[in-house]
Amino acid sequence: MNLFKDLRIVYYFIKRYFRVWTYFKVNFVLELIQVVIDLATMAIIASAAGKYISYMLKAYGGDYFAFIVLGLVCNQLLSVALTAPRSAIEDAFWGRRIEILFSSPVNPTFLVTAFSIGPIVRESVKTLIYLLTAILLGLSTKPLNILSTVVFFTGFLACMGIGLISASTLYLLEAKGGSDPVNWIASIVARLLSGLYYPLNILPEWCRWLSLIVPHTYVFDAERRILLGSVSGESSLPIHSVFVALGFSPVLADLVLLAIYAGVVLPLSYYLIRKGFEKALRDGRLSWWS
Amino acid sequence: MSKDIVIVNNVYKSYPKYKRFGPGTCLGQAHWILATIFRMRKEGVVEALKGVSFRVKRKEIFAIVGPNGAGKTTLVKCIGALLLPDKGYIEVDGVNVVEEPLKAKKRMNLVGSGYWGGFDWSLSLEENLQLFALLYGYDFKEAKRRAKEVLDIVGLSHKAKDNPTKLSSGERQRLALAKGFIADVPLYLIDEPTVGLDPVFAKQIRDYIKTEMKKRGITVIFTTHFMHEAEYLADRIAIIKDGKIIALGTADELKAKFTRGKVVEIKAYNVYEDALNKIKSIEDIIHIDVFHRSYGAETLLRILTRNPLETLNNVLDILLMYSSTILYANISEPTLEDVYRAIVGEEYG
Repeated sequence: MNLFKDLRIVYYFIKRYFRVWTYFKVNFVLELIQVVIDLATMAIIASAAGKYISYMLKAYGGDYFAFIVLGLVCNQLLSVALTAPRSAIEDAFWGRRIEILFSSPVNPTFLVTAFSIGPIVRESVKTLIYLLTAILLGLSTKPLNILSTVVFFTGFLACMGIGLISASTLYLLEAKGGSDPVNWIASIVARLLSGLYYPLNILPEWCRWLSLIVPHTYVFDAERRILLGSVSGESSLPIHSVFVALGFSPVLADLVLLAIYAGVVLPLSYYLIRKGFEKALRDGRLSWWS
Repeated sequence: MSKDIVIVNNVYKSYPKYKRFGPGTCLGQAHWILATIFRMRKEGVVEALKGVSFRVKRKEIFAIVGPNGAGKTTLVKCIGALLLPDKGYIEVDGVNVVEEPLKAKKRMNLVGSGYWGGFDWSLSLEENLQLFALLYGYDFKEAKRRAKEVLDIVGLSHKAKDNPTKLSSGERQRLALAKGFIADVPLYLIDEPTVGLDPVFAKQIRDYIKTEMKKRGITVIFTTHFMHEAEYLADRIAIIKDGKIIALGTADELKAKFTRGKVVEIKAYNVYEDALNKIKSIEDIIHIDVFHRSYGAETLLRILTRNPLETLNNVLDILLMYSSTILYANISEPTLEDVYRAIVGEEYG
């Protein structure tokens, strides 16, 4: 298959995803309105609490509203990278589409990746609305640049890797029926310890070390430094000190760690996905009725 | 190029049988722990295929028949690379299916029974088929042309813009067949091609397989429960029972080999149970079918026997002794269904 044909296939998956998403029109509109409501809530909290914690946000420019909006924007897209592969396979598994698709000459890993694009596009649309609303509410950041884009996409790939590992558990661990152990752990750590709502330095030392197991931590730190604060500046993650000693800035340290993370997790995830499908083909459990 | 397009050699396939936990025991996020524990409690295995071997020649139409649970679908899925066999060798058009499944899938198209359920309800019929054509590597223009062509073949072109949920069950089966016809491949695997179709359309599909696919030089392997379909379509027929092929050959070869006899057909009024029991005890009878009509007043006996004339005389004697009224009697050649019943046995009916 060449790239153009692959993109055509992806286009069909996106098309079907959007038809499903917009099938209940009122729900669709309410979902978009919800984005604005969530942001307005955050703006109120930020204006009330911002002045009390802004002194902790020196490395990130000191503006709590910008701090939290940037975190939530990144989180929205990183979260979908975590969940999309699995929910896409599960949807095809319970919707009985997986076997008929597998009867065609298509690479399973390509299929899973293509399945995942629809939810990613959906969250991108919502994120855009989120950002535009935030700008209307007074969000001010430095302009996007290559470094922030590279950091984000490296983090996104790392999350996609975890998402694919989570998807592989569907067959490898028979993790169906509402359970998703990998994603569950990653989401909890990301929400609680990665510095999404508050700076990491308010957490105990062991929590800060634990926060390093998810890519979110590095992405939040680097993006906030690049777009709100300064690339250099005091380190906020415990592992930064190792890199600072080597002459790296905290942002570069984040980027290197994310690249290592993605470099390990992505090949592992593709290996596990392949093994998962192999197991399903051996056990005859590719589809729920087979 | 080998003259055999499919080689199946000594294939074994078994499914592990795990202890299941009932509904209501789901623990949400911890469900997988429960699933893993229960999956470790193996309760044995189901042996679906036990050393199956056969070869299918190029351009041949090959039927696999057998009772429910005999292993037909498992066998088709193993050939179609949708199941990995435990042991054995499967080759399609010179490609080892287990080692190179993607390469093998490019040489065949599989239509499973109930595959209509796998079509995407949010895409129209033509979009679904275009997607499958793209998955087979055709460019977009060719995919559109093929989708249109196969919808014509299965008589659904007037519903091209509808989604699959708007189709009747027969139309859905036709859509599944359309997926099978979307790619130009040398081998088609069709699991029960006419199940759920009305007689007129079932005949159209059979004729399409028999004439058009034969003309295009395509090899077809199909499973069916309809013996007349196997006899009409197939060049050779394999009968599978309990995971083993127990008979293989042309319809005529199977008839000659397994039914050394003929069929005696008798239609009569008032055939009582005692008379039937006596008839069943006649020595030369291989198999007997009893059909009641008109609330049991009219009975048709279809008897496969090694000695047709003597059996006919004996049966007529018994019926007359029990005051039955004979309406019709005839001796004919056995059909494939008779062969099937003789081989597979009464318990599978």
